[in-house]
Amino acid sequence: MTAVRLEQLVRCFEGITPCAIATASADGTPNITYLSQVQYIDATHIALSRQFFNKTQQNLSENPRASLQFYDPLTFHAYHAAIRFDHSETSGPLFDAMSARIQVIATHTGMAGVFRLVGADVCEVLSVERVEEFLIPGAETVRLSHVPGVMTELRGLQLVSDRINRARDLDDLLTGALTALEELFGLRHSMVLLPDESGQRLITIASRGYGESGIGAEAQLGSGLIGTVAATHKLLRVSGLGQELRYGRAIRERVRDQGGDALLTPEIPLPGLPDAASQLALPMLVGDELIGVIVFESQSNLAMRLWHESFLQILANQIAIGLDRMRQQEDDEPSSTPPPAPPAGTSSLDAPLARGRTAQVAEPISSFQVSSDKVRKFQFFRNDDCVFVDGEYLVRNVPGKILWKILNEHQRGARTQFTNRELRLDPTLGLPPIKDNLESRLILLRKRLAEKCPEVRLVPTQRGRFALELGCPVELTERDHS
Amino acid sequence: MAPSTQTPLSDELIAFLAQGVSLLVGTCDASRTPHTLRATGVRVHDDRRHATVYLPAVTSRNTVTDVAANPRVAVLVSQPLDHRSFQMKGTVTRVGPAPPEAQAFIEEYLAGFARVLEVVGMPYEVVTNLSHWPSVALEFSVDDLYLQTPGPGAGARLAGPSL
Repeated sequence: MTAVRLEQLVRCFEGITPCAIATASADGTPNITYLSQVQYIDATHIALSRQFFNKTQQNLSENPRASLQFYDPLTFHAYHAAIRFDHSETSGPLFDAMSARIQVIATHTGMAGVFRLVGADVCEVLSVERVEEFLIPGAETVRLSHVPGVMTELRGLQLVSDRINRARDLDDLLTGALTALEELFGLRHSMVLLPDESGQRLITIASRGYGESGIGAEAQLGSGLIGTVAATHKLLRVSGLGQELRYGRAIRERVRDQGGDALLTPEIPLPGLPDAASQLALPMLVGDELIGVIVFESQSNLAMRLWHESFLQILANQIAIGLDRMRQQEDDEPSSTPPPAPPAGTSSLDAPLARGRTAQVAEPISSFQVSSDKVRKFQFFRNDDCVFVDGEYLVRNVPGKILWKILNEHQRGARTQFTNRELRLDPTLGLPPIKDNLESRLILLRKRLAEKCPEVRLVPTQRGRFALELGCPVELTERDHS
Repeated sequence: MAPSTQTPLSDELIAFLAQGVSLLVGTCDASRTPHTLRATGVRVHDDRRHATVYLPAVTSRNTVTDVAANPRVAVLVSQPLDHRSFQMKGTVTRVGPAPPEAQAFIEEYLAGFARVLEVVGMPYEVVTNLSHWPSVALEFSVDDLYLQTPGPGAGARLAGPSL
């Protein structure tokens, strides 16, 4: 650490980046918290604002030593000060100056009289040091040119665009973009649908604001808002669709109530809010090719305005280009790591066991996993490549076939490691030779499992590889028809 | 030493910690002189009663020295957008170099934090440029949990498993 003079660091106390203070009780239990205000007094004194009685003040009365960490708001260098509590002031010029600063905030937020200064705790500054290598050396040149910035539409656009640009994978790209659109523009209900291998359906691969059943929801090419946008390659903004959707669902329930289950096809969730008042669907295009459709919905009729159309179309174009880039990377995937290939002449479903782990399993980001002793029953319906779990629809088509292959191979020999490449080479899965969108199929499968059967996980281990993790026993059965 | 609550951390808190929040660690030495340190990742263990916080090796000398003399630790976790904050107090059970596989986790954690701070105007690269590797893994039992969101309720002990 390098010693520095406090008077050079006055801008650190302007309230742009918060200061943290650590104290310790008489028995040596530390406490750490942010301070709402630190006031520079002179080269060896500062004052801490106190609005409420708290642990920090209790500790300082028992043990006056404290540690302050604060940051330069322009360079984000960190500083550490060893301080010693001296005395508290409840009136006088220092108290009045600090109180006035707090009153400004309090009156702005309707808290006058509630959020007010109780005391200014004056501390002696014993030493100040810069925290060396707080930032990686050589990377310290980024300067905060706009802190704290006003979130204009243009800056928001740049932010979303930056996220898309640096996304490492498909899920990161879509989740990052939808999250940013909610955070920055309040677009709380959004989803991205990609065409399936038939080109006749679009499947929700990412969604925000729909809770359960968002992922995997389907739309037919040419029908409904989403299908129409997909077919015409033109954006659509409408309102009042929710009523018809509710009507359709009511009919479905009536059919079921009257014992007509057999007439109903497997319940594939429909995309969208049941009570949407306005919807905007935009095509994601690269050249003439439809990469997918992005949809925004709101319960308010006024939520989608005209400017949203052009603004969001720019973003839809960006996402389309990003998706296309990801797909290109998938096609370029190195083929130097061949899978544990089945012998010639056997289909993958008859493949012998590949024992042992071929890659180290990365620890999942989530720090806890679901497990249970209860058997989860998986059923595969050959007529439509549909997989159910405990009688409930899970996934179908290519993702369904992939899951079935993986579960079967695991059951035959406790195999847990799989590669994207072996899936591509498996003719029974029916992936097209180029632009197969395998990654998006795996994301869909992973998310549907997380929602419907969290005990079964497909965990990415390294690029192009993933591991099957089972937190429960599974039972597999196949039937011809649902 | 405060009595252990032995209350497992709730799903909500675990999800809160997983999203990339601001992490500050407070410790003190044998003479009760405290130190502050910014950490770059936290992971709750499967038992929900222990957690590991990752400290940049280059900036954590005081902290590591402190916990060798006094194992009590305080970890402040805070979401910069809405200032929702919690403080975990615990007892250090293990300190050592973070294993190589922790690097990717820490980098992902920092990226999550950077995405949050970007919204309030902090350039993404500033946060991802925080020193973070090599790293020290500080494992501790979570003995107490306090609400730390600024306001009159700050400092309230959260006895139950839900937030």
